[in-house]
Amino acid sequence: MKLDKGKIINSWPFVIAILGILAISKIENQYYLGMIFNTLLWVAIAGSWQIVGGYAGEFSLGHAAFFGIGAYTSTLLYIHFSVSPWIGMFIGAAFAGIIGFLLSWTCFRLRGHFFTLATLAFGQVVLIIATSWRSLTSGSEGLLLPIKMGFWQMSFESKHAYVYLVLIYAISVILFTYVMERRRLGYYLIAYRENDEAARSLGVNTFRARLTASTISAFFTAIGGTIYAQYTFFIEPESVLPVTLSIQAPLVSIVGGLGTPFGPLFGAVLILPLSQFLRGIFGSSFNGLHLIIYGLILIVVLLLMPSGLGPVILKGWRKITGAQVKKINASG
Amino acid sequence: MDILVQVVISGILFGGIYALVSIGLTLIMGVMDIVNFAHGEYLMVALYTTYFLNQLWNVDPYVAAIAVIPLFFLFGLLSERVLIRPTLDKPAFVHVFVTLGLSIILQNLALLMFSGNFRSISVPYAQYSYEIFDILINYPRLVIFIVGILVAIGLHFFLHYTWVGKAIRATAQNKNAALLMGINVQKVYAITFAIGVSLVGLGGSLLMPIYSVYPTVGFQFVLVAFVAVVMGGLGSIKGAVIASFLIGLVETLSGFFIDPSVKQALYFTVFIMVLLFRPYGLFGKKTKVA
Amino acid sequence: MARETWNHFFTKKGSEHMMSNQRLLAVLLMAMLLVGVVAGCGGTQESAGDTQGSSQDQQVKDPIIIGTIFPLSGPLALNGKDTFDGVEIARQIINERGGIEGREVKFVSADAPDPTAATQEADRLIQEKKVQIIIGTQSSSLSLAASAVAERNKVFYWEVEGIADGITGRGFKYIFRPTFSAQMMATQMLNFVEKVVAPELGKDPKDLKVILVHEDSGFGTSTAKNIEAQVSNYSFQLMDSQSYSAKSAELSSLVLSLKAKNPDVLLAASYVNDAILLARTSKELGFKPPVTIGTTAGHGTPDFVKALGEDAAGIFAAGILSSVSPAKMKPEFKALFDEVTKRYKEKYNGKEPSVNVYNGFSGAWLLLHDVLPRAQNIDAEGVREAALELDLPEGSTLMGYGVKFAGPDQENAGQNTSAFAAVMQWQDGKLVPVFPDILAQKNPVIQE
Repeated sequence: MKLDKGKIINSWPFVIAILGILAISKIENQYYLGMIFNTLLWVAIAGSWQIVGGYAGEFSLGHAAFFGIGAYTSTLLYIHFSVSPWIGMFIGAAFAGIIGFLLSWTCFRLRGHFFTLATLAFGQVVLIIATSWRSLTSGSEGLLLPIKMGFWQMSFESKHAYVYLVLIYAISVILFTYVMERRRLGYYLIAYRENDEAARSLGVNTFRARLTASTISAFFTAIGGTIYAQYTFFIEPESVLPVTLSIQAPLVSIVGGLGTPFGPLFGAVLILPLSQFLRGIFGSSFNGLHLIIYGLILIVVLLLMPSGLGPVILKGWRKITGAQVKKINASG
Repeated sequence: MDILVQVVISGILFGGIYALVSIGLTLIMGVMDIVNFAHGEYLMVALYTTYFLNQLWNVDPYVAAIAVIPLFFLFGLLSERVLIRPTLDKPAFVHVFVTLGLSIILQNLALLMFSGNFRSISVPYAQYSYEIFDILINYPRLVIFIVGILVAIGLHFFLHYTWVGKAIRATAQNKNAALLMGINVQKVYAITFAIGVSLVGLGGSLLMPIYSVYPTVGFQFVLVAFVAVVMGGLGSIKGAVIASFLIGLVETLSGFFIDPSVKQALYFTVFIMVLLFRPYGLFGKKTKVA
Repeated sequence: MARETWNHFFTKKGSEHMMSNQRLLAVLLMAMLLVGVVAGCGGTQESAGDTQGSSQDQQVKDPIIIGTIFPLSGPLALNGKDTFDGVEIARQIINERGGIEGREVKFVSADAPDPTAATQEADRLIQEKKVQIIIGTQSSSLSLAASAVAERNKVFYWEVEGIADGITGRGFKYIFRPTFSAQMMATQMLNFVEKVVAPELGKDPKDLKVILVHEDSGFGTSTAKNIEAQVSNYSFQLMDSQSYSAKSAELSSLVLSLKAKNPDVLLAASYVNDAILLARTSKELGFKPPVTIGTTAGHGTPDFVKALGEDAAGIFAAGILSSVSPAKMKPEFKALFDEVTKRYKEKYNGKEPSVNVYNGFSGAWLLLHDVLPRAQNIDAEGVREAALELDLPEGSTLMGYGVKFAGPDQENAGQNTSAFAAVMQWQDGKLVPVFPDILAQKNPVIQE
């Protein structure tokens, strides 16, 4: 009986997910498709961030840099050398991975706030470089991508294609996190987060584990940059390298539940449509009110549920389903 | 030669502005071990307060400081009680994002109430400069420089030679030990936060003759203040001041000799380099307030 | 003992927290519900505002729904809000005069603080609100993002304020820009230097020392790029061109390096905050070029003159026309201009409108007063054709220029090719048009 209960609980989310994916093709409203795209993109970005930020507890506030590196690399290769964004995406991701590796290699000996603020500074350096290196990036004027539709150009008429593309991206990140959590890398990272000295005394090379994680994290984040660039056909420093992106990545993870594979999913599903709806409702009547409400909700959630909404929802879900099982038991 | 001296002096005076903004922040970060992302918004509120005191009752910004400091002490106590204290027993990221939420709220409240206009006051001495051997020294900037140094020295004496100050330092060094010694840690945190906020309030009043105030004004100062505080070593007042002057000099010299558009990239790089060689900042020991 | 208390404090807190999770969830749900209720109120308020206008209109014809996208929050909110206010005043006046062929004009408005939001809001207006016409967007990057959505959905997009060249240079069919582009503004600044500044300073243009500084976001960069590209058509040269961040709190180094070069003319593509700081720092450090030419995005704003007071006198600003000359332009525009000023001041307790208000008004007025009545059908296709057919002589807009849009096969499709920028000067606390002649109200004052 107990096993059944577990199975029911565990299979429900997947059923819902599959139904949801099937439903996407039925949605014709571009506004909602855009919202889904944006939400899934943030599932993936936050998921990428938390590989190093959530599991290793290395609280980076510089991930916009990797996103921007991904966007700029594939876009510049596409514009100047007609390299397909599919290839450019992985070149950009690899490049971001290298940068992420070097950054972590130098900054991982900083602890706590020192690390966080060093990454914040790094993000700003990349933003300033992209803004002032006008011969390469055309600065704040930004880069317009050629509007030439086609699979090889990763440019699609319909938003559905983008939604599926970003869906694959998000699933890859979650899947990777899910597997990593159950493999050595995940154990090492958590061991480091919980107690570095103890982990090292057991012979765990936490430094190497963190380097690996941070390289992968940068790699995944950069892929999002390319997809975003292909979706908007226009990038500029403030749109792909803003400090708000560096802040929102951990925020989504935290609201959803830090250090859990599905945390970013919960976080993104809760935060992004919420902020979009709030803006749609209040945006034009009371300037800034939507952000005040957003800030208030943020504070309330963090103070009342510091472990994130994801676990609370899961617990609630289990309680509901658990209660149902009990009822069946009682009647049977 | 003259121009070089002028650039250096401008850089040091400019560093004084950062110093004044970062002293309060380093105290808070060093003692309470929190990153206060709303620090820039406290500065923004102080600038608005000074602005309206000046516009409505024609109060000189330097006189306004006398009112702003106690007002911000209360403001600090209140926000510590409502927002910061509940985060202290939770993981570190909670306070980061709670202060971030506060910063979003304050920014947009300002937008809602005062619109996005860039407001400035004009006082006759604002652009007055002393001329010494062809070197121009701006009066309000000199005031900020001197007050910044005085505040740093005063705070040093306060922390070393008063009971409250000693309690603050003890708490920063070891919270549990301080508790064992009968120090009311909660009260110490509240006072520390309030002092930090009232110092940034003072900063706001003194900055008003030079800068304009608008809802997002805090960001350009807070980022540099973070850099100064971390570069100097968390909680090190001397460190924050010296780092501020260093940043001011790097910014001005590189802006003059290289290019104004890259100067910020340069001091962020200097910041990362300093941390690589001194992971706890220039004057930082793991946690200590001095 | 104390330690125990401390631990106790912690554990107690912790267990309480665990126990009350459900209650907290309930609280949160309540909070969300509350937001929903407030949201509902907000919604009704909006529609209540709309019906106010219609009560005067007795006819039961369908209203014309137009979407607006402006940055109303975030760092661009100031100019965005001003432009939107101007657009809104145009709607009010048109409705008071009986609407467009008896049909009332209604807006569905959106806030777009950043490019992502601009895309989303454009989608929302088109998909949810079914608008066929959008007025936007003030900032260039927002306009680029939002107009791309409009183009994809074949929705008419009317850009009243953004000046980046890229907005109209993309071969889009549905984007139209009644106002001038960055290229046109650069031309006017350079014309003014060559035709007016050089003779007034009594210098051969060849000997004129001209330096350009610009802030490094989209506005400053595209203005600077155009000035750099066009200056070879003129007989003077740019001595130097420097960029800086508008967010920087430190401009002494820039001012000192300018002072060392001692230019005759300083061209400055700045925003408000940096324009104020630049001017104040220049005064502190004893740098006073004979001629400073900024833009109406920075040096020509009410905030600038309030901050600088007397020191603003003599500074020039190129861009949006600041006041209408009764002698040279049609009296109806003078009347409209005064009406806009009056309504804006009424709404904001006597606050002086910035030029963005007039520009927003001028663009929206052109659309509502001249384009829509000429359209066969009020849909994207009909409005687009009416706009393309429009051919109005100089003096037909509040901004003084005429209207002739570049066709879809032309290089800058959708740009009003008759548009031009104005050059103004601060004289006695007022921004007085001095160039070109059709707009000029006084002579420029240049001393050296």
